[in-house]
Amino acid sequence: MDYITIALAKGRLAEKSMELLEKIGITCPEMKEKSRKLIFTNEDIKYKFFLSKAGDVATYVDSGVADIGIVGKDTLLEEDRDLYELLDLGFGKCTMSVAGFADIKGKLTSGNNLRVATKYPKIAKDYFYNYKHQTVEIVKLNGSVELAPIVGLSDVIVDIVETGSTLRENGLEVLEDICSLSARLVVNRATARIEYQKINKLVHDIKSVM
Amino acid sequence: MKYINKYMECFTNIWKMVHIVSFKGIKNVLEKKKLHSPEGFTDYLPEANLLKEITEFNISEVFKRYGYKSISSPTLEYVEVFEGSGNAAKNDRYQFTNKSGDVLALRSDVTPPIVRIATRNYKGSDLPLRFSYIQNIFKDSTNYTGKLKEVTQAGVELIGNSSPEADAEVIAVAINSLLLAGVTDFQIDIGHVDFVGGFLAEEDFFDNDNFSTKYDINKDANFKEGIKEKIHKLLIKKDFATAVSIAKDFGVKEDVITALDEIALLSGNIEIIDKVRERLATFKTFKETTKNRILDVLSYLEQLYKIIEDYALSNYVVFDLSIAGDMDYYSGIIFKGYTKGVGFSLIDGGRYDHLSENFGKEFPAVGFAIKINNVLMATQSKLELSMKSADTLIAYDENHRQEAIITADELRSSGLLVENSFVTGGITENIEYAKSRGIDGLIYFADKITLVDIKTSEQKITTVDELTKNQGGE
Repeated sequence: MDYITIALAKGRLAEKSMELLEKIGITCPEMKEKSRKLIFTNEDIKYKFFLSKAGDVATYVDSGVADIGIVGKDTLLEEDRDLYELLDLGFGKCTMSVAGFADIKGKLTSGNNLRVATKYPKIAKDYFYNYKHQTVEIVKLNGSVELAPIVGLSDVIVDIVETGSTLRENGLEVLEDICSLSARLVVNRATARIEYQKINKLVHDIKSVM
Repeated sequence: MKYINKYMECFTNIWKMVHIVSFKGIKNVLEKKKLHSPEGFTDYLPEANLLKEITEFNISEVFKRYGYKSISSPTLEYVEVFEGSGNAAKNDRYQFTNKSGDVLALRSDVTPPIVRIATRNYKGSDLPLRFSYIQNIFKDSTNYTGKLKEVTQAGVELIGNSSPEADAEVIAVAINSLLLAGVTDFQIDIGHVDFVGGFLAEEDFFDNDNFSTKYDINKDANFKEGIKEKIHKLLIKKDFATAVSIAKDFGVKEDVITALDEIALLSGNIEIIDKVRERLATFKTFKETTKNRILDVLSYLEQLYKIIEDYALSNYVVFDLSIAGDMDYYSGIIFKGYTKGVGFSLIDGGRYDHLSENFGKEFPAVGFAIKINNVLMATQSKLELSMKSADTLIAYDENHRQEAIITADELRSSGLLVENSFVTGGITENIEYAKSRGIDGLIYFADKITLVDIKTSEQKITTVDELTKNQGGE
């Protein structure tokens, strides 16, 4: 029998995902042991698991080396791969927002040539160009995006906001919401069809415990 | 330690290389990065190319046997040929302007050019037309996703017939092509645009009370159409999760939300058709017209299945009712071929009855494209090819060149693969060379003609007459 391989986005999302999967009998004791292994297998149920950076989950599932992925919608929007997005898992909830100092608000609605710092250039571009029809200059950063308006690299940022406490502590606030985000169950197109019995059962099972 | 030494050696070598390169003037070429093919474009070396050619040949044999005639469209078309007929999700065509200011595009899809050719060169009385092709398509897809930007497609277009028999024939050609190409374990997923489309066309799409209390927006028709369109686009993208959540957010009625939620998982063998029929009857709020549209689709698929059964090919067929049509022009059945171990579809096909209207005629049509590169992913490991450069090596000393060349050509015309030797030296050096290249035999022309069987090292003195005479018997 063939294995079903699940790619999980490292960190809290992976923990939450495993909690959910455990509820429907998809467990992986090997994963709880301390080891340097990269791939974990549960021979009893023929499932394999691996952890990767969120953005790479989409790549693994797209190419078919992973059959299933659990990853945030922010990553899926940014990566824009051709995947089956079957379920909103309801956890990992947050919002993609435009944030900055309160006094920039006027420029945000009327001004052009706004400088936007973000880890998500594609989402930012889509929001400002295709939805707001506004000319902006997008600066791609790799982390601590909140820093950008404080040190003067950009006017605003586009980033995910969970509680907003980091923003508040630095005198920033949410100016506009772009979309709400949560963890998604994605499946490779070929797996979704060839293994439809397994996948359909998985989706039914998850729905029944959600 | 050994490893570190190796590493250091490596490092010094690289350093040496940089050094040498910069002093030999090759530096310029290296810096311009012109030594490799452009990202997304690949070279096919002899082994890979042979595999590809054999696959293409086998597939084209199937096309021929079903009466499909091979045609070619130009590599460049006016961009208008592809406009309004592209991939619904993405625009990744290569396009540019020529000197007269026309916008030209590299072939990004084979079907529209073939429909253009059919509508320009043939009239109603010529129908049906059966065309096949093996052509490359170009897509300027995102970098660093491991996807090729130039791939080969082999496909057919059956133009001028809209019967289920035509749909079934094309699916049968698709199945037989994959079989002859050496793919053994595959399935063809069949769906229909009007299944998802049928639900979306429901007139009472919104729960009107819910819609107005939830939203302080004008309930104008455009806004509602916009939401429907958004949901449709999400279904085409296979983003079922977001489609459902948008439907919930915008006050779409309960039955539609339930249907959208269930559509994602509607795959299965022929029994799924009856199951969906029964399930449909339990939806209370759908209009009769909606239900009838969907029932029509189900009966059509059943009818199609019966014909495929008559071809004795129904064990390759699975239904996938979630297919919403990734190309704008699909208007009836859509089908895709998948195999285990390849994460991409091997075949994309479907009916496109209205594409010809872009070119001023009404030619209903159905067709598919086999993605050769994806098929090779499935078959490559199974096919073992020994690539020998030749059956026979011909070598000679300078006094016997003419005799050798004439004999070599004679052997070639009888079908042998004959390589001329450039090896300097005598018979021993030529035997060594033939061994290293996996060539079976050597014919050495000197004052005598020596025939050498490389495997057994057996040598025999022979004559030209004998050589050419023996050829017939082999």
